[in-house]
Amino acid sequence: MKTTTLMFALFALHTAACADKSQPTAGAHAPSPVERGKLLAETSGCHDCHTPLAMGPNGPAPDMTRALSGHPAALAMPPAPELPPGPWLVTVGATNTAWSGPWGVSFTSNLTPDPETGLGTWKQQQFIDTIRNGRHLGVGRPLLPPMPAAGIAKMSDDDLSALFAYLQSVPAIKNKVPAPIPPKAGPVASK
Amino acid sequence: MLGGVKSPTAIAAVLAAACGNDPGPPDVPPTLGETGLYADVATRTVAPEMRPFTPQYPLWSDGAAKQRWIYLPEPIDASRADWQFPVHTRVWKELSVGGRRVETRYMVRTPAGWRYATYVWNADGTEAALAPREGLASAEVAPAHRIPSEGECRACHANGATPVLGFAALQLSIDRDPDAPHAERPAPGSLDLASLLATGELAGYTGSIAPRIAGSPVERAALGYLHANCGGCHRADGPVAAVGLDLTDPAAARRTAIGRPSDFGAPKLRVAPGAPADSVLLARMRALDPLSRMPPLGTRVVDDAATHLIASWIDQLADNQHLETRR
Ligand code: HEC
Ligand code: HEC
Ligand code: HEC
Repeated sequence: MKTTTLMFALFALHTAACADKSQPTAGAHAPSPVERGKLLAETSGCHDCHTPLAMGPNGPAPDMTRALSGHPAALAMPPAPELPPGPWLVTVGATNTAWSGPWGVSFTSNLTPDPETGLGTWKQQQFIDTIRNGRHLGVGRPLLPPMPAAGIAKMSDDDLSALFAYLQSVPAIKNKVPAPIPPKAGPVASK
Repeated sequence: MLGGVKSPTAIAAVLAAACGNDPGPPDVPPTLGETGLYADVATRTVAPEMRPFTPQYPLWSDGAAKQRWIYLPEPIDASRADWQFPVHTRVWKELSVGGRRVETRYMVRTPAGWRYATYVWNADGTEAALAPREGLASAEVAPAHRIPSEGECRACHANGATPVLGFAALQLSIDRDPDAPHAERPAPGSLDLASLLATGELAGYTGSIAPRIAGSPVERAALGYLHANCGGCHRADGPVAAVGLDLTDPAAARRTAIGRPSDFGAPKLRVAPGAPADSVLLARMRALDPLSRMPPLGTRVVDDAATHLIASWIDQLADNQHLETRR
């Protein structure tokens, strides 16, 4: 009797453990990778930083004509204001795409599939490596704040593949984001 | 089916297996001893079938000393420039700092592909344990030494057609470059092109047993250094290809580096003949800040021998611009 109960409990556990969350539940429409990736991009806030804000009738709003194209190349930023000593540390441009802090100045990347200035030539594995390694192009310098790579890296390979499929499906926008500026003056790395 | 399974983790493993999520046999065992490198790990006696090799152009790892071994179950397919290693090939590289073994890096070709791992030595040097996949900020016996993550292994090794970087024709030439920075004296019995051909382990190899980079001694050593230390990323394929800097072979290096503009500070050239101080390539080898350091991982100490060599090479280019090879 005891064994039967244990077996039954284990069977229930087995069924639960084997439930594949990416499978459609009865009656629901199965999301395609692109649809799933869109949801992940929206819930993980990629637009917050990678789509420039523009002033609209209700205040700043994402400029969806430039969705996910990163810091606008035409918007040359003057040097960030020097902050006085104290607990304020970071300055952000009005577009939410340029960030100045102890790491220097970072500009959010163009995530659209433009082949020259965005992720058009990227392979899925390179995107996964970029997020998991937290490195530019997957293998280069460490990514700068505030890119939350370590958090996004908690997604499964399937989720990251879906995210990449979505990013590759959005309209390509040509926009060459400037290279980051190190804490000391002068441009350093190439993009 | 569950008879004898007691602990919750064991049950979880059985359930995972029943779901078809079985991770399979461990490709990378928990201890170095179990990879088979040593006949006796406590006395550090290397098993006879694990054969030493010593690439002529080593990777700079902040001065760590290195030893390397390979196990070849079958001959290599060497009919193309990118050698194909048989399934079950195993390769090790042991790094020592201040005379003490710190980590032993391990690559194995499984039927499902290459796996990368590294083993960190204990304080008495009697065994090394698998490092976490995220690497370690510091090694017990050498606090300044960082243990790379698995992603970092792949960042350097997994960009081209073969992930084995130091066991290839130029690296195993019998005509070794005496000016290679940090050149190592080959360990006794080290494999080279001659010995591999003699044992029939280089199937289809038609090249010379003494390949060498043409040019002056300085140029030979400089291009050899860039090939080994930079060519793993800076190549015509892989994730860095779009940067357009190819340091894999002399012709490509001359074509894509010498006199070519860089994105790195507007008017600068990657390599400005005769002007080391204006050459971005050298500036990035000398840089220590993580935004500009080249290579971007695996090193935090400038390789002075190499930066002097590259500076002399750039100086010499003023007299000898190799214009004929630039097209
Ligand atoms: C809080 C702001 C912020 C959020 C949220 C954010 N990013 Fe970023 N991201 C950045 C910044 C800034 C950079 C540039 C960092 C650098 O240059 O080192 C960046 C860089 C990147 C890169 C690197 C491209 C390269 O050239 O290597 C990728 C890929 C990326 N982000 C994807 C995403 C995705 C996908 C999301 C949503 C899941 C996301 N980011 C959310 C700020 C953000
Ligand atoms: C900075 C780039 C870089 C990183 C990071 C790196 N390697 Fe390597 N590795 C090389 C190069 C270049 C060689 C060949 C030259 C040499 O051995 O000195 C090499 C050689 C090796 C060898 C001998 C076989 C061969 O390819 O020649 C093994 C085994 C190895 N590495 C394993 C690893 C493992 C495992 C990791 C991660 C824990 C790792 N490496 C991290 C660049 C790197
Ligand atoms: C692990 C991969 C990797 C290795 C190894 C590596 N690099 Fe790089 N390198 C990159 C990436 C990614 C970029 C592009 C982003 C940037 O500029 O930081 C780059 C950019 C560069 C640039 C800038 C090119 C330009 O047009 O301005 C130079 C110069 C350079 N590397 C030189 C070297 C040298 C010299 C070595 C060897 C001593 C080396 N790199 C090793 C990944 C690597």
